[in-house]
Amino acid sequence: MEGIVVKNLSRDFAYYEKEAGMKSSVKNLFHRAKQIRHAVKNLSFEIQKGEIVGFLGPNGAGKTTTIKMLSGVLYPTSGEVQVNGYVPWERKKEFKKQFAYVAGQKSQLWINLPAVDSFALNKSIYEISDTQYRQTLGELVELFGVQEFLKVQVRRLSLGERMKMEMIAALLHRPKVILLDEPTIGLDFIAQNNIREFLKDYNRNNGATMLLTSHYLKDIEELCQRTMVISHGNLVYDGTLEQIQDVFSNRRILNIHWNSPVQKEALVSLGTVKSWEPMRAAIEVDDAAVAQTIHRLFAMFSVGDIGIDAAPLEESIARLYEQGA
Amino acid sequence: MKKYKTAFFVGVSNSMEYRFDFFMNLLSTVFPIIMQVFIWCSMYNGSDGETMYGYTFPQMIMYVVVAGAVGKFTNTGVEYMVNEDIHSGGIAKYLVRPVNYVGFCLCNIVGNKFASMITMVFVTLGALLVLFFAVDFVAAPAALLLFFPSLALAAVLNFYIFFCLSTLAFWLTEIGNFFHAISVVIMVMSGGVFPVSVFGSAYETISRYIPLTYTINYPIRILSGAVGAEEAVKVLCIQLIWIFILAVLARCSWNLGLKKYVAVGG
Repeated sequence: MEGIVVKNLSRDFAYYEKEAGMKSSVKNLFHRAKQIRHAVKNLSFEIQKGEIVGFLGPNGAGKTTTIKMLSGVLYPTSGEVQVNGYVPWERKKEFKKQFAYVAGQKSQLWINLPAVDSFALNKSIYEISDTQYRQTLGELVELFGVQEFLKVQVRRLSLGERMKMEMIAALLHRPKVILLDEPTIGLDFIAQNNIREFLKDYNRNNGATMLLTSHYLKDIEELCQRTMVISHGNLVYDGTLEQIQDVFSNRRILNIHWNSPVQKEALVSLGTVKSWEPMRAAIEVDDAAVAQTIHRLFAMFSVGDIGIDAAPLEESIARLYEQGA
Repeated sequence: MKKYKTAFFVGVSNSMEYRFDFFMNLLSTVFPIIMQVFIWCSMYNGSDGETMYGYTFPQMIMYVVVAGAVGKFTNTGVEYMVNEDIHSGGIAKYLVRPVNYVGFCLCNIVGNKFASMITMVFVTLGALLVLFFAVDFVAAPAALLLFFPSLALAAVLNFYIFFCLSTLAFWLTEIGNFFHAISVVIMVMSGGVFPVSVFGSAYETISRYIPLTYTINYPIRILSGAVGAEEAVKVLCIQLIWIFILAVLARCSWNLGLKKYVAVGG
């Protein structure tokens, strides 16, 4: 079966704690209290072939741990995973040939070499034919516009350039499943956009399955039809981003411009004042109270202009994050 | 197979990137040898007999000079590469790819050392030439012919010895200093500083049954003619057997370490 199936996946880590100070350092030499952290708890989901799924969650939620288990770099404590029908941690050659792992924070290239040498190495590791290699490389290099950097040692490249090289290296063998761990971290918005466009293209042209983690909502918004939110190792949401908004935000923001200055104190009775300047204000209210509040505003003040926005998506997601605790 | 060939060439170009390091490495070989020559000069001057530890003065000078070059030749430095890969999480990039790490490492290291190995061969030949004029040392053609294969096997053997040691990095977090210490011990025990006979006959006997002396001591004794042609072939066979044993050991300890690694994560 193509796609990703995860059933009751759990992963615990053992670690040791040390109290501050010299005395406990000595004590720790002889006895260390072992602690267990449940990084991933009983995670289950399915990803269809060709789907792009976003994986959201605060730092330490278990995103990277999950991705590592899906790529076979980590054994689970319990549970099952199948990626295109393979169990990742058996690390079968056929499996490795059809997936790619891209990590924004850990280079998959040989940093002392120019990128083009790393590509050549990948070519022979994945046993890519000369024609396919030339064609794919040509396409990818043109798409990213990195022709001039191919022969520069990777360690001398800027983060954005390096990341583009990482993507090229990961996709040379035309993987069917791509696991991306924060591919856009630390990039400027142009480079982020490049990477996003590129992934979209690749997905469209190759029907590849993708799971990607990111802290940038824009990545998820633009790329993913579906979003999973994980918090404290639990899957707390699985659906579209818009739905998060609907389910979790019954709050609206009224952006008002006045014709004459209005004091902040005069607004407190109407709702939560999010921002205030003499000539304008933003007030958060319950969506049921929107109409009534607007009525009162018009009755009380001279309103020049008024706009109604949904509460920012970040706030809804932040609420989701809290749920997993 | 092609992937390992590429790994080799990647190693070659990797080593070329840092030319300064390359020449410093060369220079660092020469200084200790010169020091040793002076030490042995004064020791032979101070002694009454013709030989010390079974070596005449020319033989001893030949030994320390060639040992310096051979030691450099066979020292692969694989332990630092493996340690770095394990602790920085760099091995993930091999784990997710269809490639065998040990084989990749071997080819990459041989490639990496290729330039310096070639240089070392010339340094050794040059040293022999100097020795020829300085102490009337002459190597037999058969000895020379057998010396180079034994040298190549010595380098591979050394690679596997250190690869096995470096898998300790899976279990120990801070291991850099351990490598420094152990590599000096191994160097001395292999006969990389002075002949093994200096340590007495007891160790000389033991040394026949451990792989270490086959990395430096035996190749030199083949070159000097202390080990005859017939026995030299035997030495080559023993080297091959040790390579086989250690390759199996390397594979086992790598797999064992990997189990632990993927259990705790990097």
